[in-house]
Amino acid sequence: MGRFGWRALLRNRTALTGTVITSFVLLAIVIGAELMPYSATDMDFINILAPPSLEHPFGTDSFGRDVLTRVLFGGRISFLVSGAGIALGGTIGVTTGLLAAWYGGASDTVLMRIVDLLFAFPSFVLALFLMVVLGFGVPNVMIAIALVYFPLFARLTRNTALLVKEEPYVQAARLMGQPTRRILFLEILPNIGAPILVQASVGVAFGVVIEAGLSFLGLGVQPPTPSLGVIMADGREYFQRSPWVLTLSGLFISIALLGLNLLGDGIRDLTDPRLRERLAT
Amino acid sequence: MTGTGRYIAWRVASMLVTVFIGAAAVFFAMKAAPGDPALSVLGESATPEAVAEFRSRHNLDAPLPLQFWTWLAAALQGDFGLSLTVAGGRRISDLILQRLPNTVFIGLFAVAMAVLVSLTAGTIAALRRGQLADTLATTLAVVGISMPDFWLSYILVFTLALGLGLFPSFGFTSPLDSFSGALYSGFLPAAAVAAPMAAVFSRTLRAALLDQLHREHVFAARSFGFHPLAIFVHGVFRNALIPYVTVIGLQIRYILGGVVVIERIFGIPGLGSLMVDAAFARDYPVVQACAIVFLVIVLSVNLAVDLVCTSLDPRRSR
Amino acid sequence: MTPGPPLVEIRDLRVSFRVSDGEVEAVRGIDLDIRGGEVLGVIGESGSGKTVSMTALLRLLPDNVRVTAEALTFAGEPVLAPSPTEFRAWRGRRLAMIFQNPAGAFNPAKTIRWHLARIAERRVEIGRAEKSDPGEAIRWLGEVGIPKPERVLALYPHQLSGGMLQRALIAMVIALEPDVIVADEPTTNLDYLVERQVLDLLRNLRARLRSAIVFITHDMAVAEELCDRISVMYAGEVVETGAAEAVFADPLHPYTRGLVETAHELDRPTERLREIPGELPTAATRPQGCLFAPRCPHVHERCLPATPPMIEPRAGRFVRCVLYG
Repeated sequence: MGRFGWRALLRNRTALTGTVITSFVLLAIVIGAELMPYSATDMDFINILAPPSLEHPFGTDSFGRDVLTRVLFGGRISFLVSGAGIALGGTIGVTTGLLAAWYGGASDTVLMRIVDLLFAFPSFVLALFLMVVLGFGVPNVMIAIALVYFPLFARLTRNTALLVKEEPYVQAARLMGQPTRRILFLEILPNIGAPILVQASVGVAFGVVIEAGLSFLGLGVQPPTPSLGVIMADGREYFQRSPWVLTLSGLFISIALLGLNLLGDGIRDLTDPRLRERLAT
Repeated sequence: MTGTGRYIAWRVASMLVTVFIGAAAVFFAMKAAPGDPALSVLGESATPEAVAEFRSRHNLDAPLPLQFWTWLAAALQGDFGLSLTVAGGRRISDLILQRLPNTVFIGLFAVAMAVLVSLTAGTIAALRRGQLADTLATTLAVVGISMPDFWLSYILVFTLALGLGLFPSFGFTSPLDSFSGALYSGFLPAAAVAAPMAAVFSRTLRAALLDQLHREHVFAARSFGFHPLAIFVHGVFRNALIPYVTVIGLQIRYILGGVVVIERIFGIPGLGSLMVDAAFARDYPVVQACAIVFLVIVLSVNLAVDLVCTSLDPRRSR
Repeated sequence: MTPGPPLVEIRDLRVSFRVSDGEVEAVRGIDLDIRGGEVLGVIGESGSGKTVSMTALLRLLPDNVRVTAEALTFAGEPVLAPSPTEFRAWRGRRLAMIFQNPAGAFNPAKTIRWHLARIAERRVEIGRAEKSDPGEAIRWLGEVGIPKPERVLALYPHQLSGGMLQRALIAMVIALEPDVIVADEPTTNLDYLVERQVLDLLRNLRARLRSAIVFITHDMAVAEELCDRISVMYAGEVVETGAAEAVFADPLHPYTRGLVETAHELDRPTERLREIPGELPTAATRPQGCLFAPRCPHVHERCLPATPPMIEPRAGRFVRCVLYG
């Protein structure tokens, strides 16, 4: 893969839009939350369920709390949980995939069987099941996301690593007696990094959706900790009267998802060799 | 047994092995869950004797492998035991049989919608590549994938149900009671699940069609002067079906996942809502049974899709 | 066989591709005649524009390609004028192509029988037959030397070897009885023994066919066997045209001479194979004047200011070189 040019990233409209949107979202949850005059828990019983206005761009919820502030803080939690989950699942998955591809044979079969088994459960059902086994709460949501995504990373890494394994520079490294760990992480991994990166960015996006779904049902992040799903669950209680809470918090998730999807698409466009040759003709 | 027959038999056997291992994994994982089933059923203030009696009645003190074996033997005969808390005392298999058709219906309805939309959108986008229709379709597709389906369902409810009154915002008629009723009450839930799927399918079909359009055999067919529609149907579309159907199979995991939350939102008495209710009620036998049923559904769909793809691709079927 | 009047006339054909930073000219103004009943060899190395020019004749180039010509006619009618729908009627009937990569020409999801059935339908459509005859597919396969044709019909393309597929493709093309067949390096991808068999097949068929054949190849020796007239192309231009025997016996253009001598050397034991030094010019390195000048052993300053015109130093011999006038 090598390094894809940052300039090329800027020229590709999809990647550019994706980067802009994602950066905006990240900025909002990292800095924007601090800039808000309210805190996520400030209650104001006079102003319950107020519609969006200049003072409260997203309105207020049933406790009078500013929804935008809660969304920004909640976004932090959601992204942290999802990001950590993907990082965990990705690390284990990539390592597993590399080992399976390198050693082949029985270890490959066994590892891929385990991966296939995890794949055989619908993602959300698996997450739900894990929350029952592990108990509710933030750290367990992270573990659930990690386990749901581990098979994707493992499969992807293994398949691409198998292709790269036969390349001359890998064979050369092997003949020179380089230790396996070096070969796997310094020779093979950088060359299969691109699709893994694409998978990771899309994974963080859908990890947020899984977290939101779990918390929405009450099985994930538990109130009073705000997360995007918890806010949506709140909003659901009074949806008919004051639909903006649920709608706007969900809209925030959608925008973040859109940004990450475009970014992932953009990276794929830039680094997929087959696509690159077709775009050049 | 013919070659194909042997292949199917092999795949089914393989699937059963996976189900067995999956069931075991689910069973043993469930045992690690927090909380004592006895206390969930009898309440926190139950006497130790009542707890002991409960435990021995439900065989909870036997060694784990033995418990698994007993459970498995019963399950193979269709007996998943009794629900502990969520529907106290009722047979789990009854619960499942009652709810499964609803979940399957919504799932199939969603797939049908997504396929119809994507066949249209994907084909138009590929044939009008680079033009307005393509950009529009592609943009819609990216937007479609970027909406959590449970959020979308609220938007749909707000606009189409509460706003325009076209569809009910809650409740579900079982297809076994009234098929048309099920179509009507199931439209919004299925649409919410279908939207992101339609987006993925459209993108896949578009890419597959574009890939085929540039293949040499299409070139050759044109050089013979065959009719463009015939070339499209037999050459381009036919060969694009394989990746398209494959992706549909791969997305089943997400469709079923989406159905779980949708069922809760619309109050559909399906497998997903049963599992969620049981999760809250700590009714572990039910959670376990639901997880395994979902497993079987996914594996069956995978098998079916695999067989369809094999029959579509002569390079695999011989 | 005495050739008839030109069936296809090509005058100043230019083909250019639009790429990310400009245009690349693949064919820089060529003149060719294709006469009924003869085999015209178009010889050149990769990148000479030989395939592109013939593909342009069949209007099979992609849309981002520009094709212009002073004249590009079939039996007097301009090739570029009809709409795509109207032009479809010409395909198969007037113009057809045998592809270099036979495996690519078949739909991988369909049997050979299916492909031949489509050809049978097309025959009726273009008026070569009243209705399809049930046994004809087997007959066609038999005519091109495919053993056990009934078995082959039921097979899929991936189950046949390159040689068999090429024969089947040839059968499909000749069944349409086209007026002009463009054979684009039909034996290049085949190994030597199979190549010989297919060439023998083509030689036998040609005696029976009324079609004109354009035989594109980079292999001088093969061209020598099969062709009546040849045109040699270099870097998008025709550099020499003439009767095959004459050109091989006495090549005029230095490039042709290099090709002929190299081909003949392969037949004789030598210590070192002569090669033509240098490489084809790309769009970026297009020199002023004769395109072959950088590699030519006879270059002098008259070659440089402008492209040499095509001249006819002897009857029927055309060459683009200042050595002759």
